[in-house]
Amino acid sequence: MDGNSEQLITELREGREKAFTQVFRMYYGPLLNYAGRILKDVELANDVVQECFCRLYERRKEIKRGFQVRPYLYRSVYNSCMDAIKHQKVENNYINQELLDFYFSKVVETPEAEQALLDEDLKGAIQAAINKLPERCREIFVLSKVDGLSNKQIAEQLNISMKTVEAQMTTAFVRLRKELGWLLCFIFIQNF
Amino acid sequence: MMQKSDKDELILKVLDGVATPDEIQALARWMETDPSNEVYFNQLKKAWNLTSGPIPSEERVEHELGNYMKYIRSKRRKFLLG
Repeated sequence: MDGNSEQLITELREGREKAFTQVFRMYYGPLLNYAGRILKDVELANDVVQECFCRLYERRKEIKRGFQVRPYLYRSVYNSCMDAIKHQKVENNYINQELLDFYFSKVVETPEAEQALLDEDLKGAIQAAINKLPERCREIFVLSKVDGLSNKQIAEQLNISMKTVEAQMTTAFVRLRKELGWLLCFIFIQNF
Repeated sequence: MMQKSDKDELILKVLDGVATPDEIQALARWMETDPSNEVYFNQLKKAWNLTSGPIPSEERVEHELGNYMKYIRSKRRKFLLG
């Protein structure tokens, strides 16, 4: 589906519900995922993403020919996330300016890097890599990342310790990194 | 010098947002010591970004879409009344 067709842009400017519905269905999920990773809080992420969609509607009359929906939304969500975390836990954990700078420049995923990742369409490769994880490791990984359970919930459900869950998650990511290594190397070169 | 794989746990703690200030500082220092450390960090960060974050159910998407439509209609009503 093309999010930038001239017709869609026109309909957005005119405030057509159908156009806003289409854009919402296309981008709500990926944006929630993106914001959730930055904010570590699904409900807060949902608020941020909803506000960005509302702002798109509010500002519809400013939409011009050649307007690109996806970069606009990712930038908008990123900016709102930055505002939100500057006011909350990051301030506690990243006490000095140096650590804050480090966090914002190196740790937080920029909207540009995020969209480049989406364009690579790596879902199939990732699924294959996840399938290759050891059974227990995969089970825990899926409960965490697909079902969205917290480490505590997983520990309770599987009747194992939090430490075991954390250790298995680390193993999962390290193995995924190795499995996807060549792929990630390739993206890395392309993006920078 | 420490093996890079020793840093995996630290990197993931920082990405998960559960690291202490000292741990974050340690990671920042480690990344400064060698450009290849930053490359390593970025690879693990990509794996993490590709496989983390909430994925809403279809019901959730439809529910949130409903909220969005309610918002749009409330604005339109205001516009018509105003």
